Amino acid sequence: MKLGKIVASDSHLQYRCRIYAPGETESPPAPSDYALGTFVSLVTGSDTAMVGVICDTVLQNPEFGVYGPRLSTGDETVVFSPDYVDEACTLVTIVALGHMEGGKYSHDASPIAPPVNCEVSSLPVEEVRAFHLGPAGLRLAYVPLLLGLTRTSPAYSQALLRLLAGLKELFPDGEAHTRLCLLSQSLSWRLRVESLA
Amino acid sequence: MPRAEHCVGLAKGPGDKPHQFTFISPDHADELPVGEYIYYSLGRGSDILQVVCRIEARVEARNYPDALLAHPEVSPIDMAALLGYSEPDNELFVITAGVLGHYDRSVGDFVNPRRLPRVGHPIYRAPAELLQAVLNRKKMDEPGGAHIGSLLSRPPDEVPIVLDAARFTSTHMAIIAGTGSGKSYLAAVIVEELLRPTNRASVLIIDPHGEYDSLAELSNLDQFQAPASDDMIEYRAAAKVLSPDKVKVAYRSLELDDLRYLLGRDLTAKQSYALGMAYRAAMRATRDKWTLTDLKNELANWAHRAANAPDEAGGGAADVDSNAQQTAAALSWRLDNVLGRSESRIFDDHLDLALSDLFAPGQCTVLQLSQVAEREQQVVVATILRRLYKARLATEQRLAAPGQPNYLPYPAFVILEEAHNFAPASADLVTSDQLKRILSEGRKFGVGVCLISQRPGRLDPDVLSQCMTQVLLRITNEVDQARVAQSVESVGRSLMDELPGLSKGQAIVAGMAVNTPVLVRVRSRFTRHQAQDPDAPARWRAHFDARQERRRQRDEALPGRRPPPTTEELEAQIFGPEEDE
Repeated sequence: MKLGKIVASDSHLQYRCRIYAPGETESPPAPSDYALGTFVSLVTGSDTAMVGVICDTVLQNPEFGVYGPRLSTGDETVVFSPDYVDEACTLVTIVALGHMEGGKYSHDASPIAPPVNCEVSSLPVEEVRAFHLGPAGLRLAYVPLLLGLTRTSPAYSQALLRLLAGLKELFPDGEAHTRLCLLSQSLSWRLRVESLA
Repeated sequence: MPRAEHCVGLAKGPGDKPHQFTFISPDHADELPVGEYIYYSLGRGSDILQVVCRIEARVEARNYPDALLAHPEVSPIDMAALLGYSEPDNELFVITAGVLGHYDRSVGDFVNPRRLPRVGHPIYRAPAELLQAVLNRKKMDEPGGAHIGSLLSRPPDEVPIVLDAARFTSTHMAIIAGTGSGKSYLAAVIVEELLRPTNRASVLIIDPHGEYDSLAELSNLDQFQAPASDDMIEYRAAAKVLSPDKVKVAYRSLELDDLRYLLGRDLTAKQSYALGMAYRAAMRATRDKWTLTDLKNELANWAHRAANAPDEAGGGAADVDSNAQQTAAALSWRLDNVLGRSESRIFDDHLDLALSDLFAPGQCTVLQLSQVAEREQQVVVATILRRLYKARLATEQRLAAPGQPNYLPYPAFVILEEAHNFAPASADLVTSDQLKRILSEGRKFGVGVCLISQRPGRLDPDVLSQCMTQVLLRITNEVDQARVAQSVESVGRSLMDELPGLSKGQAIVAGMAVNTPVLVRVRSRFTRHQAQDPDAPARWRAHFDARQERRRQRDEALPGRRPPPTTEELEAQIFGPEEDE
């Protein structure tokens, strides 16, 4: 599903995506489609794509706090000034976790940065599974990156825990599940309990 | 039922000491206390070595913050759940293990491979079968084994601890324990094991407190009997309890030092000299079979000779003649007072405890010295040890023949209670030398001792350090702990730290009778245990028991208990009451 497009970036690894508003696309995404911890992909070339995860959400509303006189109400603006751009939108922060090249996923940073207006799509479940399965089984090489970013915003730690909970459902048994449980338990302890120490 | 081996943790890295490493374990089953045994594997294919290690310390690696432990009635698990952490098992431990090594049967001991497990290497809880095989030198019910209990860190009887009786009966044993920690109980268990049909030992117990009476029961118990077989006659263990009135030492068994010791420290140089002269003369005159009368006669002879030839009296001074008479008289009086009229009547002209009565295979002899003065106890023990050692020496060197009193053709094991009274650190007693000689040379001639003491701080450190098997029960006194740590090198620091925390019936066994120091739960005795402290409050309450009071009144009403009648009462009984005029 198409979620939105890249409008800005904070670094090579952190991008801001504006979620499509109603009317911008045939089937605009519902809030559950761009929930915290959702895996996304950004096409960066003919056979390359960047894989990321939604780690933060910001609501942009320029009209909030503007109490001056208006020519028309918000509903009437669409009728009387159709070329007036609605600047209220939802922005999500995407952290680049890895990339795909020639059909193979890697957990290293994508060397090619997505351009402005690059479309962001949710990563299908099977692709999420494929992204996490390396030659030696389950891999989550991006966890240290996300863990480092938890210092910058508490939303990152929540995104990380949600991501792990989702992966545990995706890998419901076997060694992969055991490892995910161990990692999830350890991070949960650190982020929830140990923070009180 | 023994548990199958399972991985309990992963190696973390080297520890503080070269033989230590640490591993991480959640220890969900709470099965890795200090003292527990684990192992890791080295090698591949058919050359896999199981390296056994003992847990020496454990600390929390993951702990709840103090804030979650602030209320005694609120569980930190619930508090963590409140914060969104709902995993049930949270604890994680860093466990320090000391490598004992892999057991090399050709060497008969642990061999340290000097290769610690690599990081992440799996660590297994040692299965019971492995521990049985590597901790003990002997198997259960194997000849020469002494099953004293089971490994403390495992359920009762899962890993029996079997001592090597041949080792501890030849290289000596020390049982060190505080009061009330079960040392006489453990000693009785060891005696029981020595008298099982698999050992049939010759044991003498020196019992100053009368705690071992109940061992007499063992001759009636099935565990101490065995039917005849093709090459063995029927066996039934014998137990002989010698009460204090039956303890006799003939004067001929006393040596000059024993006499001097019995007569006391304030013996003057001249008295000591005179005693030596008389003693040697009595020995010559009676061919070593002197009596007290002989000794006193020789003392009088010495005084007489001294009066006629002062130089012979050792003085040469002008007044020696008159002093010699006084010396002899004083000595004679003291000999009578100490030896001839002692209340216990231990010393006798002719009666003596025959070695063949005290020592016999399959026999336990309990020598009760509970009403004997301490000095006399020491001399009794010194004479017995001396005679035992000399008899074994003479027999082994073929200087004694069957039928002779010093013929003892089998090894013997002596258990000495209150050993600090016989080999104290602060004094040199008549028993000290005997014990030191047996501890250093007894092994060659089959004489072993087991020293039992509740005050190791007062025990001669040389004596303690020569006991090659050590059994330590709870010791709380710090001086005693320090002495034990100083003298017992084979027990590691981590096990020594366990000493104050041991419960009754729990012991540390170390030394030659086991392959490595172990924490043991002492098994139950077959015979009854007697050394219970008297229940004084119960006795006081009983004094007010109505039936006892009636019995007391009845006893006091008996004629024999009445005071003798006065003259007036007697006249009244004979002539009737006096009539008033």
